[in-house]
Amino acid sequence: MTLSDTHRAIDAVWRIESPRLIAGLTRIVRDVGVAEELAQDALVAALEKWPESGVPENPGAWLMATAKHRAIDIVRRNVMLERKHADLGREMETQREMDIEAEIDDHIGDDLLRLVFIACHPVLATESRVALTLRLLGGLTTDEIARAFLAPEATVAQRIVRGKRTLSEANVPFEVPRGADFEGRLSSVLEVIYLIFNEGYSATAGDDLLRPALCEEALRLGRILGELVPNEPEVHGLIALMEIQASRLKARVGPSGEAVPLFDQDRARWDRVLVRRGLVALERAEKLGSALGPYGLQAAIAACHARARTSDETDWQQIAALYDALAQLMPSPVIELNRAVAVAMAFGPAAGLEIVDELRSEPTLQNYHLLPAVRGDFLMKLGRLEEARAEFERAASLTRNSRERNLLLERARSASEGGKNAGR
Amino acid sequence: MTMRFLVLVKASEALPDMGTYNEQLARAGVLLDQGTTACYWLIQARSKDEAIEWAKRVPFEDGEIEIHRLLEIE
Repeated sequence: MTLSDTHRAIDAVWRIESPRLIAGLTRIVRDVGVAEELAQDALVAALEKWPESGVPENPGAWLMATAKHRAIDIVRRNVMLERKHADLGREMETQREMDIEAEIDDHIGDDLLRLVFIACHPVLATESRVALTLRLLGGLTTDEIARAFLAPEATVAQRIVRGKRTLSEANVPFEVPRGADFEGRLSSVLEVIYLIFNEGYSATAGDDLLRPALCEEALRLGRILGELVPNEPEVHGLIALMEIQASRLKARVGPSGEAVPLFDQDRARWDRVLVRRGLVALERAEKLGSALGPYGLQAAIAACHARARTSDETDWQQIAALYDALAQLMPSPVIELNRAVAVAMAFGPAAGLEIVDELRSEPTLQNYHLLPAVRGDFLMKLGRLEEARAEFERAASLTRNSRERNLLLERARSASEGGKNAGR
Repeated sequence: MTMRFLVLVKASEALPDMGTYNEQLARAGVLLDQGTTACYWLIQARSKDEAIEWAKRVPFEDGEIEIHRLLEIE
């Protein structure tokens, strides 16, 4: 093995082992920042030793053993300090050390879950949650996170530093929240993971490859969470949603980098491994809960598309029903607009128009180009061509995407020409 | 970009600790698919070295391991 081979091997070991390492160390020192430093020190020690000695049989255990010694030193020093202040007995110190030794090996899974909850703690700003999660649980470097988020490295570094400081100042306990707290905290975790996923999903063709890789990173985090809390339906709902959406990553971009809408995608290019995983995860979510939550419902909608071999085979009635359920769980004008599209596909444009008409007074949609675009489409299908033309033109004036604008203007023209080339 | 690798084991005997290994991969969120009769794992990894590191951990006494990177056909 050459030196650079060893360094690359150490990188790989770090990526695999660092989350558990940091989690275990946080249990000892009760401070994520200190734990990460200790883990980094162990990594440096590996970089010094392994090129000579070779990579040990069990590299994770080696790193942990190396870091643990220093961690216990730190704890011992802190206990001494505490004892000076509080005059604690010597037995307590040794007892604590023994506890640490026993606990650390038994609770790696729990520790990892605690680390997830701490990285996504509500006391942190959202961007710090994202950066800390990718750093502590994804094993990404600050530079990698910065490139993936198109942000300067110094900015990301600051988010991480600030996040760690906030956690330490707020004395956030290293624990899995219990009782009524659990659900809210879990949904904060899911939100962070989905945010990372969407950041990758919105990457365009010219972006650094690390951006689309965020999708896989988020999937990996979701799957880890699914193993740590196997009985939470929404966790599997989110996994299912991400797996199915990720299955379309290749098909949703055309040869010149343009976005290809779902209905026009070449379904042969959907990733079957991810589709299958998504459907299995959805089934799991369905079995666990009496009713699907917001992520589960969105996954179920995505699954309807994934199951259809051609767009004609899409079960629109089912999708309309799912949007109905989703709109009741989290009412939102955008979901309502999506529901209108599904209803129109299932029951005809008149039914869709009825829903869309109600949305016209919705203040948040006033400048949203898809509202007139969708309404124009329904009007066109109903033969109300003049109204359709006006809606397409309005939609064209609202979009900032030039390709989309041209498409909408083309539809406006075809409406004014009497519905020849009526589009899709 | 994340890559996919197929880790194949050609061993003369069945692996005793398959379950534990499967679990390790699943807990790390990298397991995409696994063989039920044939001994293989489809994993996602960010580098060839990460895939090799996972392959090193396959619990077996005697046999051969192959790692194949799966290429996307465009």
